[in-house]
Order: sequence, then structure tokens, then C-alpha cells
Amino acid sequence: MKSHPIRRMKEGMLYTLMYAATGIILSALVLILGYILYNGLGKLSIGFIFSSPQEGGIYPMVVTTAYVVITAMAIALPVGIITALYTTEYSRNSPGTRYIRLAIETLAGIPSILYGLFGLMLFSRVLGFGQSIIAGGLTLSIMILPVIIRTTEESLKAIPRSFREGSLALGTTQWQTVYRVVLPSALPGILTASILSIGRVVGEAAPVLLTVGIARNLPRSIFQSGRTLTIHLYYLTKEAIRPDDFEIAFAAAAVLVLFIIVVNTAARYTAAGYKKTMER
Amino acid sequence: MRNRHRRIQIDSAVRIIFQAVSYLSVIALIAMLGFVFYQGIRPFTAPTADQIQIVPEHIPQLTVNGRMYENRRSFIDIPMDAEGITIEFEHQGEHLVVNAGIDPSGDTWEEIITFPPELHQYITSPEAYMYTIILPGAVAGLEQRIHIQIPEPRQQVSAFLLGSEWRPVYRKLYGILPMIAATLLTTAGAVLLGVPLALLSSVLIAEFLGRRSASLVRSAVDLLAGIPSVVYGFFGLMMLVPLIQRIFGSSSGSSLLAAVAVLSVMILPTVISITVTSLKAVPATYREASLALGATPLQTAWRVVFPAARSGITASVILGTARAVGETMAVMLVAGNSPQFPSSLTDSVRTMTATIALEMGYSSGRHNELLFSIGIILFVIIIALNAIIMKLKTNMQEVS
Repeated sequence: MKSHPIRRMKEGMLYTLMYAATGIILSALVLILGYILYNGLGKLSIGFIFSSPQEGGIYPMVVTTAYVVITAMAIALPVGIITALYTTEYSRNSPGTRYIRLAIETLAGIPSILYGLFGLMLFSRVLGFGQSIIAGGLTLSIMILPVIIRTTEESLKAIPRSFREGSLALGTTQWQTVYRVVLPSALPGILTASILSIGRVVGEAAPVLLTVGIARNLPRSIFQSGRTLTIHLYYLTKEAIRPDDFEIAFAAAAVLVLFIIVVNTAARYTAAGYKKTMER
Repeated sequence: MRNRHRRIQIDSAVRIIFQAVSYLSVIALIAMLGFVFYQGIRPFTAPTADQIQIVPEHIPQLTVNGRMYENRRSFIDIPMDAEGITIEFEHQGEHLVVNAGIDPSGDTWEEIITFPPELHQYITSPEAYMYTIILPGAVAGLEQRIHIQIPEPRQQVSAFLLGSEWRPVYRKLYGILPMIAATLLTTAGAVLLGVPLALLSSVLIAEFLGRRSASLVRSAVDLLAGIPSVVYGFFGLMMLVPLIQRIFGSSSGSSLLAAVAVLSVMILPTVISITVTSLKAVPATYREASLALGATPLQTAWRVVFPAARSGITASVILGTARAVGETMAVMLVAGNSPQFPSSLTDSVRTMTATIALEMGYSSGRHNELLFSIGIILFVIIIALNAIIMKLKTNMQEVS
């Protein structure tokens, strides 16, 4: 009882520290977003997004980014969903599945620059794609596999067993159960996975720099080099020549930030919607 | 009945296809390790070439050791055990003979080839392991040149890891100790600065905040995780770097300090999300028992729940460390990128990841391969950190 006032003071200090830390983190977020949006939104317009760099726009970069996203998703989404289905529906605890899980966890922890080295070596040099959108898309598709697999797995695990048992009891094969019962209930989770990985691909820079390259022209096919938004932002800041380069950089950063805000909100929304349907 | 038979056939076909596709991630991981290791180990196993290589420039016809070459654009190989090099060609209407001796046992590359003294005024060495003989032409720019490339010997592992000079282009010195030091320093700084913030905040989020405000803070943290690393770097370059320049009066604000500051924010989401999850996973009975014994909520949170979530918290810190080690673009934009040992917080540094990203575009030959060797070191660090996390996970499963 004697130590009460001291203890209370100590506790007060700790509370203050915890709130201060949280405050610092929140203000860092507000500062970063605020600074970029404040400086970038002025320049931002529909014209900015749809005009060429010569006219001070970013159209080729938006197109390249979209191509990279489409290529990466076209490969990673089917592979990721199938892997998640296999590890949860078909073979939960076999030794093979354990290797697959180990591989996925290791892949998730590997820094993106190493994906860049690998993609450069395999897709650009050995397979001869050179620096191109397809090489970057293939590289990034491996990088986002863990995100897609984990998120899909989680939504598959949340589906009650009674769904599957009910279906199997009606005499369906496992594939019919997976295709007609499990997959439809997992769709919101798969949607969340897709949104998260699109955000990841759009924001990625280091492997893209190595595999897609820095060509400023509008790419005519996915076998050409291009420059994504993130790489454009990097080059604008590193090699700013004209004074309005920084203005364009701020606007490009604002585009990226706005996109990420949209992605995060969408992912949150789909994940919440999906939890609700499961609880019903 | 036949229909049912077909359905079963389809079912087993699908199963086989699914199994095959699932192993793609295992194959991808093995291929990744394989390619990076294969390319990165090469400089340590063999010299860059077995022969001395000669490239003529603006010499239509020349004879090397008795063999005649016309309009040669690629290498002319000369074995290391040849007695010498004799090059004959026409120079401004004159028949010229260049003689050089080869001593393959020379300790340094300068000792391998010896030129007669009268040639010395024409010989330059634009970079290590390379001689260029320049003979004046009728028109400037049309000088006749002969490039002689001496193979680089096997790279010593110790010279690579412990060498303190990185001069890959001209002096062919490949020491990455300054980069290792930079990666360790930026990572350590980010962990020291970011982890306490993250842990303090995680306990608040998991144990004290109401449902609404906790979810609000968590979505803010998620947003922080989503911001692209280039945007972090851009923000750091536009905001932090000038600030550091002004406060410390240094010539350029791009520095170790700027990198540490940016990285410490970037690792926050990783540490917070995993710590909060593992704090929440601590059974409610722990809290109830502690509170029933008369402990305050704060004591319960820090003395009971926090230690109980120890493994998860350690894992979160290790994952945060891995994130800091692997971060490339943000660090590249704010750290200044000079390959030197920093003597103060405001010195420019260059991390291992930045070296790979900066030089991959223009490097060639051994320089290029050694960038993959840096990749191997990163791989080893990341896999070691991952192994610790796996160990922690099995511990956690044993406890629960």
C-alpha cells in the first residue's frame, strides 16, 4: 500500500508512453499521406493520367503498370487458388503439403530484390524475354503467390465442414464439391487476395527495375520493355532535370497513394463482407 | 452408370493436376536458390577466362603469333602458356611489330605481360586487367588501338567479404564490407528505433483500446504497410533529407540517419500486426487470474500477457529485421549510396540491396556475377532469420 503513489506515477508514465508511441505512428502516417497528397493533388487531373510524358503526363507508365498487373495476376491467381485448394481440400497433412507450406513461407520472407535477380536470370536471360513486361509479370507472379495462397487458404478454412459433408453426402465427387460448394463460398476471400496482391504489384519497384526496365515509350505488347509508375517516380526524383519534374513526381506519388488507399479500403470491405456471410 | 464413371475419372484427373500445380511454388523456390547461387558462386570457382584476349580497333588486317585475322571484331584468344605475343600490322603505311612477353606466374596482373620499353609511351591501362595500345591515326578518333585483356583470377572469398574497397569498374576491386556494415547499421538503427514504438503501441491496441479505436489504429497500420517503398523513399528524400541537412549542417542530407528513420517507419506494420495477433492469442484466463490476484490492468498487460506472447513477439521483431535487411528502393533514395564506412550518422552509406539495384543495369562480366554473390549473402541472412522463426513456431505449438 505504501508504494501506491509511486506505482501510480509509474503506471501513468507507461500509459503516456504507449499513447505517445501510437500517436507518433499515426502522425507518421498522416504526415506522409498529407505531405504527398497536399503537394501532388494540385497537379493531378484526368489529363495528367492520360497524356504522354512529353506533355507532362504519365499515360505510358499507367499502361505499363496495368500490363504488369494483368500478366502477374493471370499467372499467379490460378496457380495460387489451385495450391490453396490442394493444401486445404485435398491433402491437408501429407509430407508433400508440408514442403509446399515451407516453400510458401520461405518465399513470403524473401526480399523483393532477390526476386528481381532471379527473374532477370531466368526470364530475361535464360528464357530470352529480355527486359520486358512479360519477364516482370512472371517474376512478380511468384512474388505474390504467398499472398494469394495464404489469404485464399484462410477463407477456405473458414468454410464450415458441414458444407462439404452435406455436398459429399449427396453423392458428389470431391471435385464437384470443390467446384460447386467450396469455391463459391470462398469467392470473397479470393477477391480480397486479388485486391491485396494487385496493391503489392503496383507498389513494387526493385524487381520491376531489374526485369521490366525503364523504357519511357508506350509499350505496344507485353514483350517490350516499359516503365511502371513506381520506377517513373524513382527516376523523376533521382534525375530531375526540369523544375516541374518534381511537380510531376509529387503527382505520380499522389496517384500511387490514392491507389493504395482505394486498395486497402476495398480489401477491408470485401474481408468484412466475407466474415459476415460466414457468421450467418 | 457411365456418367458416374466419367465423373470419377474427372475427379482423379483434377486431383493430379492440382497436385502438380501446387508443387510450382516449391519448384520456384528451388529454381530461385539455384539460379542465384549458380551465378553468384562462379567468380569464386574460376578465372574470368583461360586465355588472354586481344581486340583490335581500326586495324583491318593483323597477324597474331603467326595467324592472320581480317576485320576481326571479336576476341583473339592467346593461351596463357604461350611464350609471348607478337602482333604484326600496317600502321600509316609502315609494317609494325609489337612484341610482349607473358609470365603466367606473375603475382599481380601488371606482372603477367611485359612490354618492351620503346612501346611504353603508347600503352595505357584504362582499367585493371586491361592494356590498350594506342597508335595515332591520320584523323583524330581513328587511332589504331589494340586492347589486351588479361583474365581476372579466381575471386578470393575473404577479399570479397572483408575487402573495404568497392571499385568494380576501373580497379576491379570487389570488397563489400562497407555494404555489409551499412546493411547491419541501417537495420540495427531501424530495429532500435522502430521496435520499441511498435511494441508500446501493440500493447495499447491489443489490451487497452476499445473495439472501434483499435480497429481504426489497425487500419492505419495496414495503410502504412501498403504504402509503396518508392513513396517512402520519395517522402524521405523530399522531407527528411533537407531537414537533416539543415539540422546537422552537412553537405548532403542523404545519410545513414535518413535511411534509419525511413526504415524504422517501414518495419512498424510488420512488427505491430504480428505482435497484436500474438497478444490477442494469449488465453483470457491468464488475464483473469492476474486481475483476480489484484494486479492492475497495466501490470497484467506487461507482466503477464506480454511475456506469454514472447515467441510471437520475437518472431515479429525478426520479421521486421528481415524487412529492413531486404528493403531496397526507399534506402536507395535516401541513403546517398557511397560505398564507404560511415564515420557518423550523417555520412552517406550504401546497403547491399542498393548495390544490386544500382549496378545491375550497367555491370558486365565478373562485376555482374558478383552482384549475384551479394544476393547469396542476402539469401543466407534471410534464410537464417526464417529458420529462427520456424523454430519459434514449433516452440509455440509445443507450449499451446
